[in-house]
Amino acid sequence: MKLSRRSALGLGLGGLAALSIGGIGVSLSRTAPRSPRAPLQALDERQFAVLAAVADRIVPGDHRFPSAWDLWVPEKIDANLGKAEPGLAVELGMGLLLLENAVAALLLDGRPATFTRLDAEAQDETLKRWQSSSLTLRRTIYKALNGLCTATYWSSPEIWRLVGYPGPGAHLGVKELP
Amino acid sequence: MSGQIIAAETLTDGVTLTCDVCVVGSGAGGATVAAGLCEAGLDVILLEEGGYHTRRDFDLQEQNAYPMLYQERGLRATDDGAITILQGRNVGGGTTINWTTCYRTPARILRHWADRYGLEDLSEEKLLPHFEAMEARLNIQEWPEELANENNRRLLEGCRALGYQVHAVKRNVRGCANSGYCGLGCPHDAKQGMLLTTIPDALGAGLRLIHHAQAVRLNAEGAKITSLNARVKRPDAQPDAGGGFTVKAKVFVCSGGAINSPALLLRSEINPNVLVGRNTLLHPVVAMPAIYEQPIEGWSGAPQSIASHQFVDRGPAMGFFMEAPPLQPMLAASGFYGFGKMQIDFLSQLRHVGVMLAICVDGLSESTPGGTVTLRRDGRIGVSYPTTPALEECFTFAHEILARTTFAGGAKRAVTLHPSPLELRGPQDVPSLKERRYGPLAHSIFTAHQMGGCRMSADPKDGVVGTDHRVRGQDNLFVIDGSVLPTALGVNPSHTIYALAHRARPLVIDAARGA
Ligand SMILES: Cc1cc2nc3c(=O)[nH]c(=O)nc-3n(C[C@H](O)[C@H](O)[C@H](O)COP(=O)(O)OP(=O)(O)OC[C@H]3O[C@@H](n4cnc5c(N)ncnc54)[C@H](O)[C@@H]3O)c2cc1C
Ligand code: SF4
Repeated sequence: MKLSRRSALGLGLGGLAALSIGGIGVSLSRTAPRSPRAPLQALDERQFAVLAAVADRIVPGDHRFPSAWDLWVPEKIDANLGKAEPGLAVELGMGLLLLENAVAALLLDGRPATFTRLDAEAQDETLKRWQSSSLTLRRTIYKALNGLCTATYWSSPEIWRLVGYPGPGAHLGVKELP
Repeated sequence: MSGQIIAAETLTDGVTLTCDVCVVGSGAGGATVAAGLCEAGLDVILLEEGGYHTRRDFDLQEQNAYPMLYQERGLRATDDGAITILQGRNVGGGTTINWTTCYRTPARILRHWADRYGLEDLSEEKLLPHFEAMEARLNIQEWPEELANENNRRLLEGCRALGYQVHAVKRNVRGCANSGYCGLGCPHDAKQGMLLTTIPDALGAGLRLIHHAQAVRLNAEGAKITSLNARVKRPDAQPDAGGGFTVKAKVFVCSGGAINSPALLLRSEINPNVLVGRNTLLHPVVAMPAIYEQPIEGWSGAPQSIASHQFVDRGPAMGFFMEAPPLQPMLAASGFYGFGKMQIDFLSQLRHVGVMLAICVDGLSESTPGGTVTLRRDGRIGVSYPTTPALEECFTFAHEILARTTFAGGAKRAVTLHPSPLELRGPQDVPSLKERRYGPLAHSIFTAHQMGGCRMSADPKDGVVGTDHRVRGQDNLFVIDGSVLPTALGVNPSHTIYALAHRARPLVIDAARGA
C-alpha cells in the first residue's frame, strides 16, 4: 500500500508518530545538537537540530552566498510555524524526526543512519533517496522541507544584492501617482 | 451612512451581532455582492479572516507579504504536498494580491455549462451587462503590448516565432506604475482590487467590515440558517489565542472562495447531494525557467500581460494556456525541487531568468475531475488532488510546448522543475523531456486559481447550489465565489467571479427583503 500524506499524517498519524519516535532510544541521544539562536516557537530542540542540518544541505552556500544557517533560516521557519495552525508544526516535526530516525532508516533502507550525524555527502544522498522514494510520505516530507528552506532562504533581503535584485525601494513611500 | 472597519479582537468576547445579511469572505465574490447589498440599503456584516491591510502595510518584501496576505501564511498545499496553493487571505481576498489579468468567461465554457449543468441562465448575452458593469467599476482594460516586461515579451516573441496564437491581456488597474509587485500588494494603489473599489463602495453605504474574524460554523434549524459562530484569528498570535462571537442574520452568504467555502459548509454539516468539496479545480500550473543572454529582470513590470491560448482547447485531451509570472527572488526560487549547488548556480543568475507557465484546464471532462476538500481531524482543511493519466499527458505535452516556446523566445538554457532538473540547451534537446515522469511529486506544481467544490447546477439532484446561488435544501444560505464554478475556465477566474457576484446581488437582496 502506498503511504499517502493523508494516511500517514492524517488518519495514520499514530503510525507516523510510532515510526518517528520508535527508534527514540537509539537516536534520541545521538542527534547532533544545534542551538537555536532565538527561543523556539513551534519545534522542539531535536526537531530544530534536524531542520538546521537539512537547511544547510538544501542551501549550503558557497564562497559568494551565505548558508541557510548564516541567514537564520531554521529559526525563521520555526517562527513562521509558530504562527501557523499548530497541526502544521506537529506534522513537520514528525517528518523531521522520521528523517533523523536511525531505526526507521534501518527498517526501510537496510542501514541505520542518524541524519544529523552523517557527513554532508551522506546527507545529500539521503535527501536524494527521499526525493525519489517509492514511499509517497518520504517524497512529501522532502518537498515540504525543501520548499520551506528554499523559500525562506531566497526571501532573505541579504541575498538581494547577490542576485542583482534591487529590492522594492523605488516603489515604497510614493504618495501620489504621476 | 458610513460604515465601520472593526478588528475582531476588539469585540466583546461572546457578543451576538445582528444584521440583514452576513457575508463571509471579502474577496472577488464577497465584496462585490456586499457592495450591492449595502447600496440597496441592507444592513450588512462582512466577515474576513485575514487582516485589513493597505498600501501603508505593503513593504513588498516576500518574507512579510506571504504570511500577511496569503492563506496559511503562504504554506497551503495539497495533502501530499505536491501542489503549492497560492490563495489570498486578507481584506480583498485574492484580488489584493492577484496579478490583475481579467477575462470574460469564454463562450465555449458557458456552452459546456449549459449543456452539462443546465446553466442556460449564464449565457454570454445574459452575463454581458454584469461583465460590463464590473469592467467599468474596476477599470478593466487592455494593457498595451508595448508595455510588456521582458519576461512577458519572451512569451510574446516565442509564440509569434512558432505561429502560436498570442495576445495582450486586460488588467484591472488605474494609473499602474508597472512596478511588478502585484503579488505582494500594490504599492501605488493602482490595482483596482476589492480593497479600493467594492469595499469602499460598501463602507460608504454602511457596511460593518469585521476582519480577523473566521466563520467557523453556520447553525441551521431545518432549512434555515439562524446564526453563525466566528472566532478571532489574529495573525500575530498563536492561531487559537481565543475569542469569538455570533452573528444572527436573515440571510447568510458564503464567499470564502474555493477550498474555504466548502470547508465551512462541511464544518456546518451542510452537504447537499454529498457534493460539497468535490470537483475542486485548481488550474494546475507547470513552469519552465530559462536563462537568457539579455537581462530579464522579471521582478519589474506588470507581472502578467501576455497570454497564449493556442493549446487551451485540445478536444478530448486536457488543454492549457500559457502566461508568465512575476519573478521576485522567493517566488522564482520556490519552484526549485532540487537542492544544493544547482539551486544557487541557477538562481545566482536571477537577472537573466525568465519563466513561462502552462496553466492546465481541469474539470471539463471525466478524465480530469479535480480534487476534494475534506476536514482533517485537527480541524484543518485538507485538499486531495489525485493524478490521472489525462493530467499526466497534459503536463508532459505542456513541458514540450513550454520548452519550444522558451527557445523560440531566445533562451540559451532551460531547466525543468524535477528534483534533479533536466537541462535543455536548445530545441534539439526537447525530445529528452520524454525521459522524465510527469505528475504530482515528480516536479513542482502550483495553483493560483482555485475553483469548484460547491458547484452550480440547474438540476436539484446535482450540484451544491442552484442557478440562484442558493444552497440546495437551505432557504437563506447562498454561495457566491469561485467555488460555484462547475468547471475550470481556461482563463484567469477573477472576472468571471466578479460578474457572477454582480448578477447575484438582486437574488440576495430579494431573499433578505422577503425574509
Ligand atoms: C498570486 C495570485 C495571483 C492571481 N492572479 C490572478 C490574475 O491575474 N487574474 C485572475 O483572474 N485571477 C488571479 N488569481 C485568482 C483570483 O484572485 C481568485 O480566483 C479570486 O480572487 C477568487 O475569488 P473568491 O471570491 O472566490 O475568493 P477570494 O478572493 O480568495 O476571497 C475569499 C476571502 O474569504 C476569506 N475567508 C475564507 N474563509 C473564511 C472564513 N471561514 N471566515 C472568514 N473569511 C474567510 C479569505 O481569507 C479571502 O479573503 C490569482 C490568485 C493568486 C493567489
Ligand atoms: S504592476 Fe505595480 S503599480 Fe501596477 S498594479 Fe501591479 S503592483 Fe500596482
